[in-house]
Amino acid sequence: MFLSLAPTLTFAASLLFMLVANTQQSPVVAPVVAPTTAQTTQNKSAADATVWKIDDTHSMGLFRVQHSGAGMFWGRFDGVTGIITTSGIPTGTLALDVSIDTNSVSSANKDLDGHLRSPDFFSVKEFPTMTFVSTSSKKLPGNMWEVSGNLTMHGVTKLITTNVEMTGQAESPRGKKIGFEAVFTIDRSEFGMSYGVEKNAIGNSVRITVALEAGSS
Amino acid sequence: MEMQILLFGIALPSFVGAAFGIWFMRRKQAGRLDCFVGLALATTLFLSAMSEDSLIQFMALNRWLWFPISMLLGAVVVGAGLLFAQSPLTRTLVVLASTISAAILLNIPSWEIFTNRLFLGVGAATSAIFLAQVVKRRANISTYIALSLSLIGPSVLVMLSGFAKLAIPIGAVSFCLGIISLVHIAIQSKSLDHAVGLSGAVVIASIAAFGAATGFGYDTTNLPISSWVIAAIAPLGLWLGELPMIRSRPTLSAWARICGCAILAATAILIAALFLSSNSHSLSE
Repeated sequence: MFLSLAPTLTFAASLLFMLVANTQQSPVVAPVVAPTTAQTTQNKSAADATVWKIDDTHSMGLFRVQHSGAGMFWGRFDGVTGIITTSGIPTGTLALDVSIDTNSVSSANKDLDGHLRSPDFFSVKEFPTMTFVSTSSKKLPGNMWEVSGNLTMHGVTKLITTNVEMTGQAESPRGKKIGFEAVFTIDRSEFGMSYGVEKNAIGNSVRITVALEAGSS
Repeated sequence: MEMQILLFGIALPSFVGAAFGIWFMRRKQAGRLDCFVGLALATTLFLSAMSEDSLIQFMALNRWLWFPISMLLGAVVVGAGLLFAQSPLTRTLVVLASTISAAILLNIPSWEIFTNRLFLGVGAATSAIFLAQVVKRRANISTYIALSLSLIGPSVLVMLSGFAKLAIPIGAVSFCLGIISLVHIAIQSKSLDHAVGLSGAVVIASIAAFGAATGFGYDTTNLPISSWVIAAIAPLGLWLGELPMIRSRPTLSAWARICGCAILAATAILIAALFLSSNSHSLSE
């Protein structure tokens, strides 16, 4: 009798397993684009490496996009956190690990902020953060670096390269401070944010400015 | 941009859905193809959603597209099931299978837990069964108008939460039902007496419930839950026309059905609008 019940029990067990597995189901994860195979410069973990913690009060992200083919619309992000690692500044290497809270998006218009947070744009419930993790840096003349890294936004990761300027260094009673600024342009449709692009209501090209201030105790 | 949204997001999908829906309703040879009226409505929703977002992207990125996909699946399940289900018990099981299979697919924010989606599917099935009771008895123009108005509730609510890409497809289905009611009036055909049938009732109840659930899942404006719940059950406003003192009077019953759905939809919208307005005032103080 047990042998005749075995297939039924096996099927029931499989069904139960699938139901249990479903409760552990994680949200859909977007595929990650691997960085290019270009030679990367590993950051030195030498004794002179300094780790700077980004000050989220004095750091921000700004974006600019064309609206209706006419004026430029600006918005900002305030929840900027992360780590900057420098080695041998001002001549050495630079590494960035920056995270931005997408829910902090602000346009100074509450209704518009709600729209920006919706799946029409940043879909903050699915993608609460956007990140930039550098993979290599190259010192340029002056206080400039050329930094390459993975920008992850709206579930899509793409390798970008941007110039990063060190805007200053200072000593304060609370410790050392350092500042950086980067300006780069992306096509938002490549990151799955295409609302309004086809209808030319909102531009595809977005200029992003990231201003960072970090401290080291 | 607005003209393109009106054309590709609302008008075209609505006319396609209405054409199929009316065709299914007219085919009375076995009176059985009306089980696919729901599929016509789900097709409207799907086509409108696809015009707002690319199908190619959705596997990786845009989880909200599981909503129109799940509605399409639910419509196919209920349509195919009703072809063979004859007894009330089997038809009820078909309705349950339809809404639960749709709920399983709806893996969106705030609804990742499977049992929560299961409860949502059971709730939608209950709503559909109650809705079907009235739809079966009242297969006339007022029912279409009432159901069309009921879907305006979740559509506007979703729009108020800032999610235009979801609001437009739900609005397209509302518009589709409106077109069908106009066709009823225009051709005065007695052969269109199947109305939306059980399949249509299941899909309409599901669109209201799952549409509100999807909007709630993505909502970042923190609209009151009561507004989402009322929007989800707005089609049940048809029951106002079934009150004992009203149902025996056809004209009064028709108006009561329309008002019942309109009142529920308007209440949901009003709660949300008042909430958003009070939030704006408190920020400016």
